[in-house]
Amino acid sequence: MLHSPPSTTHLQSLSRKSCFTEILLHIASFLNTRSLRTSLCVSKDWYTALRLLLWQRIYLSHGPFGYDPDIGPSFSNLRQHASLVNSLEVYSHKFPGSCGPDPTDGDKPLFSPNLAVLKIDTQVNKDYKDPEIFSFMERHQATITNLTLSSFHTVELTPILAHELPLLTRLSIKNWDFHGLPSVFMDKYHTLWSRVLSLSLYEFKLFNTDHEAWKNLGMATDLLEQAPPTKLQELIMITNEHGTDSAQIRLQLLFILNSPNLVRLEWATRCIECDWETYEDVEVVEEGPMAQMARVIKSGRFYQGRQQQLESLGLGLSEFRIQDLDIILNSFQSSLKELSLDATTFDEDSWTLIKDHYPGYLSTVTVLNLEDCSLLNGSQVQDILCSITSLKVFKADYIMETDLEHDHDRGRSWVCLGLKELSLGFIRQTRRESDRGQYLFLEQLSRLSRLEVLNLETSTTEYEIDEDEEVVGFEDAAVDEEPDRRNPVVDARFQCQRILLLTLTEGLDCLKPLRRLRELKVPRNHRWDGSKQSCKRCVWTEAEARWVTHNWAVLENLTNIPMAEEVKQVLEERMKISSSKI
Amino acid sequence: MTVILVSSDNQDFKVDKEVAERSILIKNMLEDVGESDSPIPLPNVTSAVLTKVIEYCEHHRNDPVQVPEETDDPRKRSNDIEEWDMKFMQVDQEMLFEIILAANYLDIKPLLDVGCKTVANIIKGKTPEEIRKAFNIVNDFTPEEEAQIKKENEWAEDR
Repeated sequence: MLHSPPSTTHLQSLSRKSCFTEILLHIASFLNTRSLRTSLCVSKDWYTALRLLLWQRIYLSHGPFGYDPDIGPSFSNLRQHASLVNSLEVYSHKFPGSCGPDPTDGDKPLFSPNLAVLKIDTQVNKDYKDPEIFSFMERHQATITNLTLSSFHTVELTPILAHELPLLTRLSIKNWDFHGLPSVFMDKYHTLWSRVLSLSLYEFKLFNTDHEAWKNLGMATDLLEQAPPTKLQELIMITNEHGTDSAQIRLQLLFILNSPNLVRLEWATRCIECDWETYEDVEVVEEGPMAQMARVIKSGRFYQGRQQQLESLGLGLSEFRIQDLDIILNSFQSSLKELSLDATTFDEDSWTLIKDHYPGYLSTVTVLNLEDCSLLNGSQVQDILCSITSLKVFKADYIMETDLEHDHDRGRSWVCLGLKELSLGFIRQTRRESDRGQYLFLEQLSRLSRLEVLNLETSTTEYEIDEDEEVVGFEDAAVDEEPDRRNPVVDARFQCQRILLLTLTEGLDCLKPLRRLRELKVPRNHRWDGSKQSCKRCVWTEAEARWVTHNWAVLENLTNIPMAEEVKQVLEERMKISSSKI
Repeated sequence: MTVILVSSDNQDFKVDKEVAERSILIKNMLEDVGESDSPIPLPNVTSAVLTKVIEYCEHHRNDPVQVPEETDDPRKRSNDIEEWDMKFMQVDQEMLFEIILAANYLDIKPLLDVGCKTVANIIKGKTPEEIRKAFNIVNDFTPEEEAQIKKENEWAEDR
C-alpha cells in the first residue's frame, strides 16, 4: 500500500508546514549516502534541506589505486562545497592533489572555514607524507576542535602541534613513531596539554627516555609545573604490548597525577627493561606500573590531596595487587561509575577483596569490565550479578564453575535488573554443570527485561563431546544417535546444548521476554543459517516447525542472518505434511 | 490514574496517565498543571490519528524511556524496525505522514523515529523520479538544473 502513488500530495502539503525541514532531515538521517544524493534531485525544497547533511561529514580513503571513489566525493565538488564541510576524515598518506593551489581558482588551496573535526590516518606509511597534509592543517588550525592523527613521526607532529590551535579541545594521537629531540618536542606543546579537555595517546612515548632519563624527568616535572594539564578531563594512554621502560612509566604517572580534574582515565602499559643496544633480553620489571602508581601516591610526592571526580577508571597494568588498587581507588576519592580491569593476575581473591573493601562502591558502579581477567571463575561472576544492583554493562571472561543450582536453592538470584549489556565469555572445562544449572542460567537471563545486547560469542567448551549422547529435551522429534549434521538448526541446537541450553524450543523461548534485545551473539559453533550444511530431512515435530516458522522473524532480527533456503523448504514441507494430515 | 485527551474534531479519549506520558509534550503539560481533571486539548491531532498514536503508546507503555543517542555519525544509524512497529506502520501515506506530524508535535521520539525510518525505507534504492512518484512530488527543476545538481554532488558509486 505504501508504494502505490497516493491520490493526494501529502509530502507536498507537508512541505508547507513549518516543521518540514526538520522532519525531512530526520528522515534523511536514516538514509545512506547514495540515497541521500539521489534525494537531493527530487525537488528544490528537498535540495535546500538536504544539501548540508550530505556535505557536512566527508570521508576520503586512498587505496592502492588512488582515492577510493566509493567513499568520497569528487575533489572538484569537495572544493565547491568546502564551506559546508564540518568534519573530514582522510585515510591516506597523500592528500588529494586538488586540495592544494588550484590554477583554475586563482591558485587558492582548498579551505573549509567551518572545519571542526579533522582525522588523518596515514595508514602506517610513516616514511613519506604529502606536504599538503601539513599545509592543510596549518590553514585550518584556527577552527579545529577535534584532531586525530595516526601514524606520524614526532618530528612531523611537532610543527603541527606548535600551531596555536585556539579551539582545540580533543586531541588523539595514535600509532606514534618516536623520532626527535625530546626537549624541542616537550617544549613545543606542553602548553597545548594545559588547554585540551581530552587527550588520547596510543602506541606512544611521551618523550625519548632512552637516554638521560632522570634528567628528562626533571625537565618534564618543571614543564608540568609551569603548565599543568588542569583542564584535562579525559586521559587515555595505551602503550603497545611490548610495554615501556620505567622512565616512561614514571613520566606517564607524573602526567596522570598532575591532572587534577580527570573524569575518565584509561591507562594500559607494562614495565619492561631491555638492552637498548641490542633490543634483547626484554624482561618484565617486578614493580609494575600499578605498584609504582600506588607507591608514588603513597609517598605523596606528586599528589596533594586534590578533589578528584574520577568517574571512569580503566587499568590495564598487567600485574594486580589488591593493596595497590586499594591505594589507587582511595586516592581518587570518588564515586566511580565505570571500572575496567585488565589483569591476568586478577582472580577470585581479588574480587572478594574488592567486595570487602568497597561495599559502598558496589552500589554505584554501572559499568564493570573484567573481560581480560582470565582467572575469574563462575562463582565470582555469579556473585557480582547477585550483588551489584546498579550494573548497566557487565563484561567478563571466566571459567564456568558456577553454583547456580546451589544459589537458586538458597533463593539467590540476579539483582542487576537494569542491565543493558551483558557479555559473558565462559569456558566449561567439565560437565559438572548439570542441565538444571544451565536452565537456571537461562531463567536468570530471561529476567533481564532491559537487556539490549547479549554476547556469549566467546564462550566455549573444552571437554570432549560424546557423540552418542542422547539429545535431551527434544522428546517428540526423531532424534538420530549422531547429531543431525544435515539439519542446521537441529545441529546448532545439538552443539549449543552442550555449551548453553539455547535451544529452539526452550532456550530461545527464554529470550522472548527480552523485548529490548537488539543484538545477540551466541557461541562460536552455533549456526543459524545452515550455510555449510545441506538439509535434506526434516526432524521437526509439527509443533516445533510451527514454533520456528512463527519465531524466525525474531531470530533473524536478532542474529542478522537470513534463513537458508533449505531450511525454508524443510519448514514448508513439514507444514504441508501437517496440514495434509488434517 | 487517567487523563482525557481531546482531538481536533472534539472527541474525548480516556487514557492511562502512564500511556499519555509517552508524549513528552503531555508529560510536561501534566507536570506544569499538577493534579487536575481538566481535559487536554490537542488541536493539531484528529481523532483518527490520535487513535493510532494511543495504540502505539499503549503497546510501548513499558518501554524504558529513550535516552538521546549520541551516535557518532547520523548516517550510520540503525534502520531496523521492530516487527510490531512495522505492522503498525502499514497504513496509507496520508496516515503515515499524519502520524509523523503528530509524533513530532506530541514529542514522541520513538514513534517519530519509526515513522521516519518507514519513509526512509521507501526512499532507499529509488531514483529521483521514483521518489517523486512514490510521494506525488512535482519536479520543479528544469532538466538542466537537475543535471547540474547531479554533477555538483557527484560521488563515484557508493558501496
